[in-house]
Amino acid sequence: MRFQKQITAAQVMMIIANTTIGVSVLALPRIATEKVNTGGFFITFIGLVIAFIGCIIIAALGVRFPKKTFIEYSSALISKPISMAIGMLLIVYFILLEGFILREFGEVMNHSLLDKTPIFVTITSMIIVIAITSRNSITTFAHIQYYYFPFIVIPIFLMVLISFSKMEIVHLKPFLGNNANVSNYLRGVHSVIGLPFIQIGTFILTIIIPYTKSKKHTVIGSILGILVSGITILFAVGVTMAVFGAEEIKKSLWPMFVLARMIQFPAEMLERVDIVFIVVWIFSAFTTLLSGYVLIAYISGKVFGFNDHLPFTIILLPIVILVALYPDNIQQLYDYMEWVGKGGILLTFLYPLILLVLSLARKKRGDHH
Amino acid sequence: MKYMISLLFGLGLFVLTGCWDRDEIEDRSTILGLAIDIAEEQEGSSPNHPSGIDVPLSNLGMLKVTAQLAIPGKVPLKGGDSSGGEPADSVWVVEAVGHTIGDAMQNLQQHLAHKIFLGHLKIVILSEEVARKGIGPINEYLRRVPDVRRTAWIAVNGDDAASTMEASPKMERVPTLYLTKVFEESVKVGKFPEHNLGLFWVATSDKGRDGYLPYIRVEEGEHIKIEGMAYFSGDKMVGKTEPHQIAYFNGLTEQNPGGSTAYFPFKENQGILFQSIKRKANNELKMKNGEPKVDVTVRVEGEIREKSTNALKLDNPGTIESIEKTFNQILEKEFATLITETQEKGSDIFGIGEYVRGKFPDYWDKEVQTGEQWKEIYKNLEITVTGKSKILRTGLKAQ
Repeated sequence: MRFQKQITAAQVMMIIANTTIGVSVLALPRIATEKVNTGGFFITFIGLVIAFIGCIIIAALGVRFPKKTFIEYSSALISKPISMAIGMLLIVYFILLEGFILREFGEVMNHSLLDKTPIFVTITSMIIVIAITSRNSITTFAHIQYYYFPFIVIPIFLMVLISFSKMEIVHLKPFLGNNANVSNYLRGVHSVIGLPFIQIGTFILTIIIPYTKSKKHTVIGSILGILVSGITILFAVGVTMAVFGAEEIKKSLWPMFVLARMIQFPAEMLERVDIVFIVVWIFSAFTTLLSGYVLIAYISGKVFGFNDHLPFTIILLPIVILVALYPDNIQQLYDYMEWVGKGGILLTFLYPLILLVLSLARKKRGDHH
Repeated sequence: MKYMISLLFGLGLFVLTGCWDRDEIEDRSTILGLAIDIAEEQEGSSPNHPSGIDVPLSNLGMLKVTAQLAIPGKVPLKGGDSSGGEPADSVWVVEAVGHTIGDAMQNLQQHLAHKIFLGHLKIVILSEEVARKGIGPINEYLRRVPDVRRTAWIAVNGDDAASTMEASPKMERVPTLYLTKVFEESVKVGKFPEHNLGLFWVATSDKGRDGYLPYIRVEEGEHIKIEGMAYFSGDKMVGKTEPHQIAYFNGLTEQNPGGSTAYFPFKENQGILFQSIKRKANNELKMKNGEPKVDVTVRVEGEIREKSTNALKLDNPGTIESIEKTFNQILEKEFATLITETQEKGSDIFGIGEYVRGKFPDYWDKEVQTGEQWKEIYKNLEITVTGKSKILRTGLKAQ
């Protein structure tokens, strides 16, 4: 037996949900509303539907080759050299994303809690913890994600619930947005699906599929996972938009962060609960980054022909830190992030789609002997 | 070896405490309230720029910031410890002048040993002059500082804002806490719409809406009175309502719980004191000849608290009905007055523009687009108001 097939549908769901909900969600309402104002909610919805499709594509591929990893079956489908070249591209792409998310996390921390701590320290301590954690097996990785899941989803829903009373439905109208022409919509959707959280969230599935208990667990888990994260994100974006309105959202760097800071428990039971909600974003950054790191380490292991991913957990460390420290400031960071993210759609959506089409056309499967 | 390792861990305990951002509570100057005035004094020497040269000013001119600082150890904890001390003892009022708020805050810092901390800022008071000149530069500063919480209140003082910081009401040990209580309790009993800093910013940002702030006045150095609402057009204050108009504004914007009272004449020399319990407003938007038209129906439910004469008997359903009818007319008249006043000043504090934007996006995209354009349209907007009152009860007295 080559793999320990232990991961259940619930774990698949939680891995995907945790990975998808990341620090980028803090900026999501702003990015979604920038182009089409109040249509931001709808754009987020479209973005999540596309993420759902991307997830299904990868799940479908994985189900056809349940014992192989992504790099293995892609070389079986479109010759080894091409697969390796694209594998390299994927590694570079995910390293960039990982670095940028790490930097974004560092910026959030520095803007809110740790204004005197050098960003290098915030970033390095986080990534070292992640590198150490990623040296565990995939099963342990799944357990870690399982543990964090309630700490991420429950507080976000709590935030949504408490903010319900401050909502103004008129801020969500018109549903399609003012100035909503097709080109604005396309650009908006492009920006949203270019955000790193969706891409890592769907691609992490390629790593965990060989370890899931059965096909059924994979399919149910991935559908549920993207649904849970999709609903959470939609609710959070919807409430943020309804509370602030499109114009106000455009004025804040992280609208959802501002929302978290506005929270007051009913009857003023506790003052300053905002810290609790900031801590949530540390968890969600950790789970997203951990998934990203594991993903890069595993793909690298396969591309460079190693037996396992362990050497790469060390090699990647300085590279990711360097990428994270490269942008001079947050404006540049978002610029790079948009650029890389938008380009990456080709890799993370189109490439798996091509593979799936090829696999269907050539009737190649890896699931029966 | 074991010894070395335990030594290493022991050392680590001291070195790796993660205390980069450690802040002792005694070592910071916690600002509870800020008052912003147009400066009449000259700026002293500034740490931010060479003195005597032209430094760009915002449209407000030179500003004076007066801050109320909490004195550590003197501010009583919630509940307990009521031992002695005048209200003014627990705080310290400091002022500084600068070209912008940020500049003034840094000048203020020069007066203080400890680092300024805005995380507990409860209230910002603007003088009317500042509000009328435009509060964009102030919002700019407050939005950028991450410590400032949106649950703080912002208000306009009719005379000079600094006097609010020095007022020392006897009810609370900390004057600013009393001041925020004034607003929070007014919201709770329905006498003032909820409109803290966060909501004010949302209203100012919205294209089809304008912000309003409580308009206060300090009397005899210790009473703080809400004297109406200061309403804005864009980021400039353009007018103020009378105190009684707040109640009608609450009705038009469906603020609940109700709680405001109205004393109105019913027939000759017969006054009725009516207190609202619940308000409901229904906006109906229509397009007429390519122009939006708004019908507002406001329902007010309430009770009769007092009447001025014994000649009037409240034991007859017919009387109650005719009181309701009289009150409906008064409601409609007052609503119309309030709306006309804001229309003259181009200040859509009711957020009708937002409803237009939501309901007729095509019209909005073609004719309006910007907030300024909406203010022009709002000035000539056709708004009809219907008031419907309902008297639920008349108290324990039978007549």
